[in-house]
Amino acid sequence: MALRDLAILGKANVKKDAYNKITGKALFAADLKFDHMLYGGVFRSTVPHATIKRFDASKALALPGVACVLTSKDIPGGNRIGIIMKDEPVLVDDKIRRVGDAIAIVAAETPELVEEALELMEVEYDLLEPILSYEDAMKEGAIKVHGDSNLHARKHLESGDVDAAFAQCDVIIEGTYTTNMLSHMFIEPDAGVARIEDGILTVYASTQNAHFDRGEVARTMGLPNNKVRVMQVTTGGGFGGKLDISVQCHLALLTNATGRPVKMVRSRKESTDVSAKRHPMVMKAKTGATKDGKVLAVEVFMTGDTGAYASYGPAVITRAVVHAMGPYDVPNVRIDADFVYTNNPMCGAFRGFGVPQVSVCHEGQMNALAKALNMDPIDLRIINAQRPGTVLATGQVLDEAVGFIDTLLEAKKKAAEVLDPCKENQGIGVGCMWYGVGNTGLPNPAGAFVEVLADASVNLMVGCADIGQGSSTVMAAIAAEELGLSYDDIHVVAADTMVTPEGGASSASRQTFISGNATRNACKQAKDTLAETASNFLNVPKEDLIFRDRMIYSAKDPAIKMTYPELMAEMKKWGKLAVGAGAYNPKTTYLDAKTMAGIPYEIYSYGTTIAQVSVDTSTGEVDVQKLISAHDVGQAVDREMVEGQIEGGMVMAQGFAVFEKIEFEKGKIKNPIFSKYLIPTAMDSPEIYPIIVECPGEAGPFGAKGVGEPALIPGIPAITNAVENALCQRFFELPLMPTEVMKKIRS
Amino acid sequence: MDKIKISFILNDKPVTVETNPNKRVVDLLREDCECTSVKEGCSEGECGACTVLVNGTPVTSCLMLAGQIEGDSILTLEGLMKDGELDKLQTSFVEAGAVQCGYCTPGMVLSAKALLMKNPHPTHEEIRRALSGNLCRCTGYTKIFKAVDMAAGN
Amino acid sequence: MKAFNFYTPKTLTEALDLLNQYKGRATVIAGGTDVVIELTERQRDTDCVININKLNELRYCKVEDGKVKIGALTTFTELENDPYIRENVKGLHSCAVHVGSPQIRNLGTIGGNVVNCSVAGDSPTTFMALDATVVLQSKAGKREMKLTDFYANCKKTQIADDELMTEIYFDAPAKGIATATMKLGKRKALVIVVVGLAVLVEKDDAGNISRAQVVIGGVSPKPARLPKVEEYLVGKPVSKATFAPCADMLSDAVREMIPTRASMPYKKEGVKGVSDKTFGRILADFGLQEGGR
Repeated sequence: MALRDLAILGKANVKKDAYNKITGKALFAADLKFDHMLYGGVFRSTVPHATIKRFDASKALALPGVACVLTSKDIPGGNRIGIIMKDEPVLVDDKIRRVGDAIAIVAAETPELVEEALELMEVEYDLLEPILSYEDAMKEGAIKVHGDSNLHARKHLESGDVDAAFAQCDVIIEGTYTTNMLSHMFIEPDAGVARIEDGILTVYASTQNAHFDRGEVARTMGLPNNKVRVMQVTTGGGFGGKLDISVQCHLALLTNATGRPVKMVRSRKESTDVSAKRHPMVMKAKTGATKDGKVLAVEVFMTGDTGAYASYGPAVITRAVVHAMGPYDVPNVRIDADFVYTNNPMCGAFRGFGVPQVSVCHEGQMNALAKALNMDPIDLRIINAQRPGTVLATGQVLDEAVGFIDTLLEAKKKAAEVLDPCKENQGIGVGCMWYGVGNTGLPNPAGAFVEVLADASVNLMVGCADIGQGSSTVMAAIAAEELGLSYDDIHVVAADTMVTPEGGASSASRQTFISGNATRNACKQAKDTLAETASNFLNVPKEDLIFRDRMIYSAKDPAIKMTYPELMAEMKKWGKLAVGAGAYNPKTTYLDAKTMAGIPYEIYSYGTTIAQVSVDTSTGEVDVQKLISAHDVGQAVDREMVEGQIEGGMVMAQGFAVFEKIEFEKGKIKNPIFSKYLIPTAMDSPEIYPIIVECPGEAGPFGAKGVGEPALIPGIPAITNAVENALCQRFFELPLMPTEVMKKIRS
Repeated sequence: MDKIKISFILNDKPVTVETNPNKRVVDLLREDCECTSVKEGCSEGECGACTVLVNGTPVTSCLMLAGQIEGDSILTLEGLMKDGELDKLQTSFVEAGAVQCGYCTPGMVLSAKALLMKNPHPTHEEIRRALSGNLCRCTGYTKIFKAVDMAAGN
Repeated sequence: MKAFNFYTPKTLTEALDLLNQYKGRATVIAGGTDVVIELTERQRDTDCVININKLNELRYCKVEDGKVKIGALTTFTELENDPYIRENVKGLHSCAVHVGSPQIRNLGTIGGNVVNCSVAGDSPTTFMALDATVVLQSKAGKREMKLTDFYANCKKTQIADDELMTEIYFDAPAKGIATATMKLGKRKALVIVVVGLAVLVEKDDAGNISRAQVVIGGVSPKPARLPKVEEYLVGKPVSKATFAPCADMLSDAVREMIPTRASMPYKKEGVKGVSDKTFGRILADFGLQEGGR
C-alpha cells in the first residue's frame, strides 16, 4: 500500500532497546545504585482540604540513620510546579488540596528506615470543607481550591447557525454520557535517583519529558537550567502518567541537602494515588441530521473535574472541545466545556487528552442515529466523513492527508472476512476517531542533532523520550532513510538534557511527526555538506544525487556512484564534517480566545474500529471477542511497531470500556492497586486485526503521522456500541461493568 | 533480629547469602545478588513483573520471604542465556515485536519459559493461561502470544 | 518490613515446638501469598516467622479409608494436577483451576487459604460444600473439626495460637455424587470473587436427590451453607426443572445476607447466572445434560 519509494520506512526493524530489555540488562530507575546512596520518601496528607496546624518530625529526625527531613521552608527556589499552570507545590506551604499532597520529604540510609521515619512524623490539620464534585465547585459561595474561582477553564467553539440547523433536521438524537476517572497503570511505578556529578545536579528519572523536568528542578532549586541535568532512564510505560513531576524535585532537594545520591521508588499505591488520572467527564450531546443521514448540527456541553491541580487539564479541555463532533464534516457546531478544580485526585494527561472521552459521546450519538435512520453505521459515517477540503469548526481547511474513509472501508472489508454472523446476545459495533497530532494551537517544537562519523556510522541526539513506544527506533529509521544509510548505522541518544536538544513531551502522538521532522531536518543539513562533497567527486549536480543503501549515485546514471565510506574519506580529505542541527515546530496558530478559531493542528490521524462482543445475560459479563482496527498513519515508519501500538491500544480500550474505574470517596482513591483496579489480562485479550492505512500528505517525515493515542480511541466506542447493539439498549456510562449491564438487562 | 544464611542455586551457580530475614525474594535477588532483571510492580503478587522460576515453577518473588528459597534452584532472566546464546524465547520476543516498555518482559519471558519446559507445543489457550499472571499494559499481549508460538515452533 | 527472627523447621514436631514456644507472637508462613503482603505493608508485628514450607510431610493428596485427605501444604497447582480430584471431585478441581494466577497457584496452599479465609478465598466455599473436616495439631495433640464449626462463632477461625492446620479431609465422593463450583468475577484471570457458589448433590438409585450441600461465598465474611435451598432440593428428581428455582432462592438469600451493601443489587442478579451454570455443571457431571461454560 505504500505510496512512496522508501528504502527503510514501512518495514520492521529490531527495536533499538530490544536486546537490553530481553536480556535484563536495561536499567530502570529503581535498578540504579550509587555509592553512599540514601533512600527518600514522602510524608503525605491523608485529608483532601486543610491547613497544617502543626507538623512535627522531631521523632523521625531522632531516628539513627535518618539524614534529613525537609519541608517547604527548605526549598531554595520556587515552590510551584505544573506543566501548563504553575499551581502545584513541591511541598505544601499554604494549604493541602488533595489526599496525597506532599508535606515533607525524608532521606535515610535504608528503605526500611524511610518507612519508619514516615510513621514517626506527626501532623495536625485544620480541616477545610472539601470540594468533591463539579456541583460542589460551582455552588455559589463555595470555598475556593485555588485563587478566586473554582472554574479552572471554560471553552466555547461555535460555527454556522446551530439553532437554525436543528430546526431543519428530520431526526434529533440526544444523550448524556459519563466516563469515569481512570488510571494509567504503567507497570513500572515512578522512580528516580539524583546525585551531584561534577557540580551538576543530575536526576535520572522515569519520565516522558526530561526537558520539562529540567526546568522544574532548576526553578525549584534556584539554579540555571544548565546546572541541572535530567537523564531519562529506561521507562516502564507512561501513557501520559509520567508527564507530571513525580520524584524529580523531591530528589533534587534531598540530594542537595545531604550531598549524597538519593533514590526514590514509589510503591504502586503511592504511584496511583498521586500521579495524574484521566478526567472523568459528563457530556450532554444533541445531534441533528436529515433523513438521508447528513448530520447538520452538533451541540455538546461537557463538564470535567481536573482535581486539585491543573496538570494537563487545560490541554484536555481544549482538545476535547475541538474533537467533540468527531471525524465528521458538520457545518453547524456549538461546543461548550467547563472544567473545575476540586479536592479530588489530580487529573491530567492520559493517552488521548479528552478525545477518548468525547469519542464515547460522538460515536454513541452516531450509533443511535444509524439506528434511528435504519442505516448501515459505516455508510452513515462515510456520508459525514471529513475528507480533503473539509472546513472544520475552527475554520481550518483540511489538505489532502485525510484517510478517514479508507479506514472505514478497510475495516468493513476485514469485518466481512473475519466476523461471524451474530448469535443471540452478540453484537457488532463501529467506533471512529480523529486526532490532531501535537499540542493544540500551541507552538511545540522539537530538535535533533546528528553527526555522520568517519566510518559512516551515525550519532543521532534527540530530546524525545522513548518510553517503550519505540521513538528512538523511529528516529533511527527516519535518519537512515534521509541519509541513505542502514538502520543499524544509526545510534540514538535520547532525552538527556546535557546532550540532546529540547524534544518536548512524548505525548499527543507528536514525536514521530515533530521529532521525526526535526531528525529529518538535521539529517538534511548534514546531507547538504555530504552532497556537496559527493557532487564534486562524482561530478554530478547536487540535486541529481541519490543517497540510498549506503551508496551515493546519480539519478540519471546509477553507474556513477560512490560508497558511503568513500564519501566519508573524501569529506576527511577536505576537512568537512557531516553535522546537522534540525528543529521542527508544527504549523499551527494560537486559537482565538473567544471563538477557538484557528489552526489547532497541522495534521490529523484517523481510525475506525469494528468490535464484536458477546454478552452473558445471566451475569452481565461482556466478552470482547474480536477487534478490527484500521488506522490512517500517513506512512508507517515501522509496521510491526504500528501494529504493536494498535494492539496495545485496543486492549487498553477494552479496559476503558468494560473494566476500569478509579473509585474514590472524599478525595481518597479506594482502589489504587492491581488487585482492585482491574486491567485486562492475557486471558481477556481479544482477537485483534490491526490494519495500517497510508494516505498521501507530506507534512510529517515521509508522510508519517502519530498513532500512539489514535490506537486507543476508536476501540472504546466500538465496544460500547457493540454491547448496545447486542442488547438493543443504549448505554450512557462507562465502564460497562456487569453491574451496569445487568441493570439494563433487568430494566 | 538475627541474620540468616541462605544457600541456593542461582542461575545454575550455588550461592550463599547472609542477610536480614525481613526481606522478600525480590529484594534478595535485586539487592544482594544483582539480579535487577527481577522487577517490582505491585508488591502484592498481581502484576507478575517479579516472576522468577523456583525449581522450574513460576512464582511471584514479592510474595516469598528470602529464607523460603533455602536449597531451591532459582532462574532469573540473567540466567536464561546459555554460553552467550540467547534463549529461543528471547530471540522470538525480539523478532515478534513483543517488547515495548520492557518492564513486564523479564517476568513474561520466564512464565513462558516455564510453560515451554513442561509443554513444548502449547495451544493458544494454554499460552494465554500460562501468561495470565503477568500484566502488560503496552502490547495488548498479541505479539507476546506470537513470540511464544514462534519459540514453540508452532 | 519490620524486624523478626526467621525459622524453618524441618519436621512437624519442630514446628509445633516453635509454635508452642512463641505462642501468639509467631506468624506461620506457608505459600506466603497473604502473609508477605501484610508484612511488607508493616501491618503485622511479629517476633518470629515460622516457615513451614519445607514440611514436605504435609504435601499430599490421597484417598484413604474412604476419605480424600489433602495435606495443608498442597498447592493449588498440585491440587489442579491431581488426577483423582480431576476425575472425581470436579468442583474442587474447578476451584483450583480458577484461583488467582499460575504464580499464585504455585505458591498458595490449601492450608493457608482455609486458615486465612479471606472473603475472596476460593477454597473454603468448596470445602464447605464437601462438608470437609480440618485437622489441627499442637504440641498437646490433635483435634478435628468440621469446617463449618471451624469458621463458626469467631472473628476468623477456631485455630489456637499453638496449633497448625495439617490436613483437610472429606468423604470420597461415592457414585451418585456430583460437585460443582463457579465464581463470578470481573475478568477472566486474577479474579477476585464477586459471588462464588459450590454445590454437592447426591442422588439415589431412583434418580432423586438424597443429599444437597449448597454454599455461597463472597457475600459474607465467611462462606455460608444455605439450608433452605438444600431442604428444597432433597427428595426432588435431578433435573433442570428442579434446579431452576434455585436461582431465585439464591437471589433471595443474597438479599437477606447483605440487604444494605452497595454491591447487593448486582450480586443478587449475578448469582442467578452463577446458579444456573453451577447446577448445569452438576447435571453435566451426572451425564444428564450439557453444563454451562
